[in-house]
Amino acid sequence: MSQPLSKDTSQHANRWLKQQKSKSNGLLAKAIAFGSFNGLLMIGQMALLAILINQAIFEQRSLTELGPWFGYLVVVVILRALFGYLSERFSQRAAARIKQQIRHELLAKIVRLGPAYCRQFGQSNLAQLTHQGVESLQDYFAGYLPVVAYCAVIPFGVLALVFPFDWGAGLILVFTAPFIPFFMILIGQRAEAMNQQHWAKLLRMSSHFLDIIQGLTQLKVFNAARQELAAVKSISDDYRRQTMKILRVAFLSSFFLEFLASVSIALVAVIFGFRLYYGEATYVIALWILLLAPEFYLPFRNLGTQYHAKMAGAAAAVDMIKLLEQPEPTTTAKPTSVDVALARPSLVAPFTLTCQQVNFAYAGRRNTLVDINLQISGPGLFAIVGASGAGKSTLIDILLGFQSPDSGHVLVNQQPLTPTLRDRWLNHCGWIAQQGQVFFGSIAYNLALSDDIDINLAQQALAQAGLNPFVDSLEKGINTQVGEGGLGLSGGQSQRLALARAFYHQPEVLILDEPSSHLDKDSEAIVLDAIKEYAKTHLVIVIAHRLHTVKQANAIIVMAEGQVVEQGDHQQLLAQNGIYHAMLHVDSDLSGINQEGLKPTGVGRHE
Amino acid sequence: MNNVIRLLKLMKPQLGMMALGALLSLVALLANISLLAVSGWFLTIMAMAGLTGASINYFTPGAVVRFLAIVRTAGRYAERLVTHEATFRILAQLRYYFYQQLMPLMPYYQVQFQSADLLTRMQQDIDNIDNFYLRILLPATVAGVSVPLVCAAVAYFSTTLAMVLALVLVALGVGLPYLTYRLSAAQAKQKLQVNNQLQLGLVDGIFALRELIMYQVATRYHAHLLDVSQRLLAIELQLQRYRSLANSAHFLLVNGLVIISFVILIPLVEQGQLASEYIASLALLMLVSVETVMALPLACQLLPNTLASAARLFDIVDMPHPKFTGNEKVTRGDIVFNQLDFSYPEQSALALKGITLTIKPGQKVAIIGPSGAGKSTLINLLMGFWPTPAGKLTVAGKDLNVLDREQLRQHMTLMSQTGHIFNATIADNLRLAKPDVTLEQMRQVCEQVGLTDFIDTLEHGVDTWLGETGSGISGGQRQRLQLAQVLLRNGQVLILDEPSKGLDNLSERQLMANLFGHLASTQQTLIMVTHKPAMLAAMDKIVVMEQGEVVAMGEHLSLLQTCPYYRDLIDYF
Repeated sequence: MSQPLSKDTSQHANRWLKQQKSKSNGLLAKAIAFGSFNGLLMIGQMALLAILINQAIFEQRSLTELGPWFGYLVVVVILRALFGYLSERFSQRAAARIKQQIRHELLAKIVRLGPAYCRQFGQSNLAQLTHQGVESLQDYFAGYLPVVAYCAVIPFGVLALVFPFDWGAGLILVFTAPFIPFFMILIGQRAEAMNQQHWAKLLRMSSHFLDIIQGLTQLKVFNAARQELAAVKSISDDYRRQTMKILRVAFLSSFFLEFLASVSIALVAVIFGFRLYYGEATYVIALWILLLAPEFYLPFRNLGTQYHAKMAGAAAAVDMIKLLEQPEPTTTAKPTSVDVALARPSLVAPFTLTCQQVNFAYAGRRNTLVDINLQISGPGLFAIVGASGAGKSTLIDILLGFQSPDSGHVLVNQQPLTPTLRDRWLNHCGWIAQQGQVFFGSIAYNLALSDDIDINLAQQALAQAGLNPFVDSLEKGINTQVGEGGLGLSGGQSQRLALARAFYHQPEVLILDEPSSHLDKDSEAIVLDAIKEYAKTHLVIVIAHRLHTVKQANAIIVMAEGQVVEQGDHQQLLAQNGIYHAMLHVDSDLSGINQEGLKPTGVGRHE
Repeated sequence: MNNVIRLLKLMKPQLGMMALGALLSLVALLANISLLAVSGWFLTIMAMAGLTGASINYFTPGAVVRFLAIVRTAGRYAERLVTHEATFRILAQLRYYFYQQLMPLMPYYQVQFQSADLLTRMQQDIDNIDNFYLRILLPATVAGVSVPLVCAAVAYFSTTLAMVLALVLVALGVGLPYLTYRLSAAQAKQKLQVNNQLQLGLVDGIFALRELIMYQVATRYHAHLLDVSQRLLAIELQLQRYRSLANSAHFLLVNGLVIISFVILIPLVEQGQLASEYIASLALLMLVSVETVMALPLACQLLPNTLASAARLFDIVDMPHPKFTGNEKVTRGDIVFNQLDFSYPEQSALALKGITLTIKPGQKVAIIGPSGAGKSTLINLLMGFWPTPAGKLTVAGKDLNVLDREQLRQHMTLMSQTGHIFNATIADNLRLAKPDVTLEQMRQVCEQVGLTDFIDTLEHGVDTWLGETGSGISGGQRQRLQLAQVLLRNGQVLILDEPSKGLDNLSERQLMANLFGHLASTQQTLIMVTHKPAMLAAMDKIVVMEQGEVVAMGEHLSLLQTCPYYRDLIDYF
């Protein structure tokens, strides 16, 4: 089940899905063409069957006399099998091509939007969307769309051929046919309305079981596991009652389809029976129409079973549209007269980063960065500190060009950081995340992030990060598979792997988010020392969580509520006796809790 | 097979409903098949009578045709209702059973369950066997009864035709699906692999997009992913090809059957062994008799998976249950660890080694150490989830194993790092900790943990449902809510595992000040895992752990002076 969509969004999604048809390069059209041929041949096949039966019964023809008719029938059956196969294959290939194309567009868009947007959208959601989301379009393109076409082609084909032979029979089909969409829409709407109403409730109930299984330990901690056992039963029963209420209505739509199909067969049989009795009709036509009646309704019934494919497709499409329509960082870097007037040094080390009156806010939130002015010149170690939510990560995103400031300027070596310049600028940067990312692949691949690896450089990088004893101890050494399903690495090892990755690429500017949880002693020391060493010749900016790091930094940037509140080295800042002093000064805190320094009344709002 | 019987036994209370569903299903199916056959026969005899001018009884066949049409339609509807009702009842039954069986196993086998990601897989497994009746048992039963019935009916006219029909139906229902399964087994496995590869590649790539862009490999990585995707699609196309081939084979078999029926029946008519009017109805019967085995291919496809799921679940359920028979009262007193060694069930490595530690009532004790040092294991042991070596862990002089579990968990209250907030309202989550909590108490405890500001922004206040899109709570609010639960429990001993994780310094200090204020009035014992210097200073005793052992113990100031490792550990802000 997927969340019901509002009418507008689902219309928009359906329009978008239909536009994607063109990506199949005509494969889908071929699929529908073969499927339609198959449907038309069906009418002929039924005619042949009727003729055969008629001649066998009423003209007492022997097998040999019927030979040619058998021949035609065999040919038609084989053709139909072939056409059916081709139609399916073309629709499958069409779906594959469309899916690949959409996946390509989504990935390209994700790369263009960059990591800052990914965080906003939710990285897991994005991965889900480009993987299963795209896969879920399969049935829409390979199943639903062709069936929609057949619903138009096959019933009309049947009617067009039946009317000239027997308008009475045609009328039976014509009169029952319009009821189908009518009832389906009526019942579909009713079911939809009920669905909307019960949706949230049903969702909660169906997730309840998984919820309590996951929380079983918690329930035991609260001595509540037994009482939940009773709830399992009562909630499952409620779930059953609620769902059945909806299903009773939902099943009605297929009930009517069945009903119409059965009634039309019965009507054809009874009415033709009497017309045959009174000699007003021929047996061949009667039998032919009896055989056609179930086939006449078949596309509609298939449409019913494909309906969920349409819903699932639309649900996935909504998120894809949201991603694809996201505006990209524009190239409106409006070079000011100041910039133009300045001579433009080429982008080479040493680097100087400058922020002038930078302001930034995420959509719908208050300012994340307020009037940031700062200058960082390498080489050296720079630390950014501040409470969580102070704007440290956003500042880094701005300095790297992943976000553009709402106002103010970011300059790299006096050049404004435009989206055009960004790629050249990033060429010189390296990044180590708080938790070292391990890619699925070999250790060597994890360093180079491509299959084209310089082994010497890789060995050297591993040595610098202190990982070589570990790697050498592995049977396959640098070619050992790591990541999901491969060798598991500890937090410290992952961190050192990320460090080695940076050393492999030797960026002029290295930015890292220090691990804030406790790694083993050795890893921490190695990572810190290696970075200190690197900072002698390169520009290193650290989002710092450790006292050690900041003590050794050339400059510390203290942030609070989106502003740079203090700058200076450790000693200078301590001397200021400001926020930095308060952050670090453990000793004053000690007494704080035991004495009246903090009264148990205040309620924090900062998270 | 054993597992099938076990599953059936579990479903026993619903057997009546299940049988009724199968019966209705059978009736609807047979009505549908006969409708076309009888209609064909009716047309033929009417045409014959029209030609010869003979008078016949046309009321009965006419009525039968209408009756079958109604039975088919109504039967199908009733069948769907009843079978779904049965399915949901089975679902309730199975969930009850599995929950009941799992209860003693968690968190006793926590290590095994986590390492194999058993919980996640279990969800899938239970979903799989939910469908056992509707998608496997029902189609198999219906086919098992209807195929012989239809064949017997045909045998009345021609045994040869009946045998051919039986052969074709078996081929369609079992042979063809089996063949497809065998042919595509290798590719199906490969698909799973490539699918997994794509999933991992996407997750890695999106989570590490920053690195990829910065190291200038984003475009290459993108191309690599598209490559994997292309491979996946190629395998899918291969698999679909087998399915399409099977569909074509299915079509050819059914229509071939019709043609063969003429070849068998026409000579019989010529020899006078069969009245000619039956040719039409038997040929039509061949066309629709496929419906008897229509749902079998899917059942065959699902069967191996479902049986594997059942086997996995029964394996879990059959794990040896830990036995706790202690029923002694829990009294306030010293908690004493005396040279305690501990390893998790079925694990050889010691998680704790020679722990010796005394915690006096009302004391505030901090436990500190790098991740993996055994801090969480130590505090979880106190909840009595695992048996401890006799005499090595005592509360007020009594061995932990002899204590009544319910009382123990009333006495000790744990806020664990892996604590679970339920998909329910805030009030429900609080009520879980204290079933008779009043609104006033809720308000008060939320004030204490700093949740009131957040709750006041919610339209439905404490009755806001958590976990729905839009009203999710942040990590910090989660911590606060869990702390509120713990405070409501009002146990003698509070055990907190990094309660201020995810909070900034200012909020943390306020929260802790409130907590310490609370403790001052209740005289509860506090055992807390933390690294925050601000809190460590206020503790009576600090236990430093590394690799399952206690490596240092003392007060904050003395440890600062004597233990360089301690200084290193708390070197964060």
